[in-house]
Amino acid sequence: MSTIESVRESYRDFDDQTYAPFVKGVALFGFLAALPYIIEIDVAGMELAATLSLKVLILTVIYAYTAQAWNIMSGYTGQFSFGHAAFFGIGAYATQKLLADLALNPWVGMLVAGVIAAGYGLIIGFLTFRFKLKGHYFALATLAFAELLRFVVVNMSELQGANGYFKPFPRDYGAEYGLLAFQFQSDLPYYYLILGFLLVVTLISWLIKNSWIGLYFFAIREDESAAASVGVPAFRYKMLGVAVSAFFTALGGAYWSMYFNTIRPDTVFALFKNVELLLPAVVGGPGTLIGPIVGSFIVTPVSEVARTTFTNINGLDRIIYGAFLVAIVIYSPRGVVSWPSRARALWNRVRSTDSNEEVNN
Amino acid sequence: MLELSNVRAGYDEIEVLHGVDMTVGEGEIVALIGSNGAGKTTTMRTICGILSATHGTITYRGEPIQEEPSHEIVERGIVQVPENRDLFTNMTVMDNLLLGAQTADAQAKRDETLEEMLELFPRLAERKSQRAGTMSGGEQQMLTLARALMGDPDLLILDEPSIGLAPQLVQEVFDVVEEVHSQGVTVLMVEQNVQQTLRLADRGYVMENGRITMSAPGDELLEDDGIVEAYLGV
Repeated sequence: MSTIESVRESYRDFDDQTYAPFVKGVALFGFLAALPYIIEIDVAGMELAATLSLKVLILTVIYAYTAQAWNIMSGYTGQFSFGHAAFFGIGAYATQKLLADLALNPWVGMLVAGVIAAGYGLIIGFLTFRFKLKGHYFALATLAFAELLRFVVVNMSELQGANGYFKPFPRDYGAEYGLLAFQFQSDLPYYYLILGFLLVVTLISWLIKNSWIGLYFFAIREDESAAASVGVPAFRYKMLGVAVSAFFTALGGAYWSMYFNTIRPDTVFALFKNVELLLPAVVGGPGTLIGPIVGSFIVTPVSEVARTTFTNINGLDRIIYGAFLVAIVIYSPRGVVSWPSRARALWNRVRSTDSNEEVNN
Repeated sequence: MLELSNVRAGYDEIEVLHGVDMTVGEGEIVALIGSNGAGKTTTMRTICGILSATHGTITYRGEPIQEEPSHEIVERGIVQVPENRDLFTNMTVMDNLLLGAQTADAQAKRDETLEEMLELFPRLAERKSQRAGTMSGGEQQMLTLARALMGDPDLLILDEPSIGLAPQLVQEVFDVVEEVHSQGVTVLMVEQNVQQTLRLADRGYVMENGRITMSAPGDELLEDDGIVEAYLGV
C-alpha cells in the first residue's frame, strides 16, 4: 500500500467519526479568522496584502455568505434562482429606509428586512411553483421578479429613486461606533462580523443538510414527481427553501448597506448582482456545504484584483466572471469541490490501464 | 375500503378513463388487468392523486379523496409503487428507504420497519450506502417495494411490480406481495403476469378502453378461456 493510500484510509476513518464535521468547521473558520494576518506575512520581501487587501477579503466573505444562502434554495432543492438580487436589494433598502425614517437600529432593521425578503420570496414561490415553472423558465421568472424591483425602486421617490441612500452616522440613530451600531471605523471588525454571518449561515445550512428537511430537499431536486409520489409535500418544502434563502440573502444585503457608504438601485439591484450572488456556489459546487465558500475564494479575489489592476480595461472583472461561468458549466458542472474525486477516478483509470499492460506483456 | 364511482380522468385534453367503477375491500388482493393502453396506470395515478379526476368520486373509508394532493393521500395510508420505479437514483439506498416513511405513524415506527425491511430484503441491507441508480433492475424493484412498505401502508398499490424482471425475481416479488398481504395490508395491483396474479388475487377487474368490462373472482377469470384469450393476451 502506498503512502497516499494509507493517508486516504486514515482520512476515511476520521471522516466516519461524529466529531469530524466539527473539527473541519473549526479548522476552516480558524483559517479564515487568521487570514487577515496571514496575508500580511512577509515572504521573501513580498506581501500577499500588496495585492490582496482586507477589503477584497471582506468582499470575498460577503459573496461566500450570499452564495451559501443561495445554495440553500437553489443548490439543495434544485430550483435555480437567477434573481437573488431581489432579496439582496430588499435587505439593503429596508435596512436603510428604516434607519433613515425611524432611526431603527440596523440589527433590528436587518431582521425586518429579512422577513420582508422572505415574504417576497414566498410570493415568487407561490406564483412560480403553483404553475409548475421549472428549469430555465423558473430561472427567467426569478430574474424578472428581481428586475421588476429595480424599476420600481428607481421610480419611487419614497425610496430616493435612482439616488439611493447614504449611510447615516451612528450618532444619527443614537449610537456610537461599535458592534451595536453595526458601524466601525476600520475594516478589521467588519471582516470578523461578516465571518460571523458566514459561520451562522453555514451552520444552518449544515443542520438543514443533515436533517429531514435536507432529505426532502434533495429528493425534490432529484425527481420532483417521485418525491410527490412517495408523499413529500414538494410545494411546501420548496416554499420553505425560498423563504430561508431569501431571509439570509437579505441579511447579506443589510450588511452590504452598512459596510459601504451608499446603496443605489444600480448597485444592489443590478442585473449583474444576480450573477455575483450565485456564481461562487456554481463554481465551488452547488448543493455542497463547502462549495460556496471555496467558490468565492476563487472567483472574487481574481475578479477584484483584475478590476483594480487593469483600471484601463473597463469591465474586465465581468469578463472574468463570464469566463468562469462558461468554463465551469461546460467542464465541471459539479464544481471545484468535485475535483479531488474526479482526479482520483482518473488516477485509478490510469493505473488500471498500466497494470493491464503489464499483464499483457 | 376504496371505491371508485364513474371516474373520468386523463392527460390535459385527452380523456383516458371514461367512467371507471371499482371497489377494493379491506384485506383483499385485487388485480386490475387489461391490454396496453387500457388505462390501468392512469387509474392508479388518479387514485393516488398524481392525476386528478375530472368527474366522479373516489372514496376511501367513506371519505372522498379525489380532490386531495398526493401527499395527503399518502397520509391516509395509500402508498403507491409506480411502474417506472421513480427511485432517487443519485441518493443512497438508505436515503431512499427513509424517504418512504412520510406519515407521522410511519415515522414513529421507522427504525422498526427499517429493520424488518432489511431482513425481508437482505440484498438491500448489503447495499445500504450504495447509490440506488447503480443497482440492477431487480434490486431497484425490491427497493421500490421496500420504500413503499416503509410508509406503513394500509392499501398498497402496485403498478406492474414484476415488469422487466427475470422469472426467478418475478417469483420473489410475488412472494413479497403475499407476505405483505398476510400481515394485513390490502393490495391493488396491475400486472402483466396475468396467470400468476389471478392465482394470487381474490378478485380481478378487466379493463378495456378506459372502462371496466368485467369483474369476477380471480380463479373464475382464470378458468374462462375466452377472457384469457381475448383480454389477457395469453
